[in-house]
Amino acid sequence: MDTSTIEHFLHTQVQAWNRGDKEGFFAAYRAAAPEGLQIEYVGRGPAGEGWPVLEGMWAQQSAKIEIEEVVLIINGNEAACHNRNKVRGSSLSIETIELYRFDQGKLMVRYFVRQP
Amino acid sequence: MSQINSEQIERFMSGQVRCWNNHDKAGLLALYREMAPALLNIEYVGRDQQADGWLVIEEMFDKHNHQFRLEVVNTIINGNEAAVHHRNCIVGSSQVIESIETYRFGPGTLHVRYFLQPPKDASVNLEQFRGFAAATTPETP
Repeated sequence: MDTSTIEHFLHTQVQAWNRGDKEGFFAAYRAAAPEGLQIEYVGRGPAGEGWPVLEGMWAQQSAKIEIEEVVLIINGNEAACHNRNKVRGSSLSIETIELYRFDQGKLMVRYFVRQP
Repeated sequence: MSQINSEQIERFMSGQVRCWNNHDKAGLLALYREMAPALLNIEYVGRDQQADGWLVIEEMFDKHNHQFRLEVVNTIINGNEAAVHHRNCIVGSSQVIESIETYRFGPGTLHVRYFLQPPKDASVNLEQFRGFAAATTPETP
């Protein structure tokens, strides 16, 4: 996957999340990960099947959180993002550093999460 | 070294920034030797050719310490790993190399991965930096 495609995916997922567009959000992931999605919360055990994690994240968080992109760096077939997950209606935010590795239709995501 | 805890990681992460900004090479290398007595691996993500971690860290200090001041944007420690967002501010200019760096600590080992974003309209020669230099040989500085 080339740099512009990776960049497009990462911006698209944030934009879809922020406007509450579940279909667009999952479509972006399906396009980026047609051969499989793995998601790991660093420090909480090994990576697992990503689709139920993503579904759970949407169900529990999409109405509560608005994402602000702080920085996005793409090197080779990997990306690192610093995002600010702002709790709607409050001044709280949850900082995350997220790593994305794109490999032959598979996507591996690792989340570092800093609680407020 | 036994399993590392978050306080040790925090001390290393803040210590390396303090040493870098205080131009304290001995202190910086001592921190790395303490955390990585068995193995230090440093990877520039997306580059085919990598070099020995100790060479990378010494070279980085010797060639570039006077050129950069580090600003910590965010540090997250989860388990035995840390991820940081740093702004590598080029002294004497308003230009910044953004980096996201991950650190995985094992028993006596440290694996570091750098994601680097060059400044827009860079006025410095980025080829002088290992992370941006055109890959030619494994020993390209």
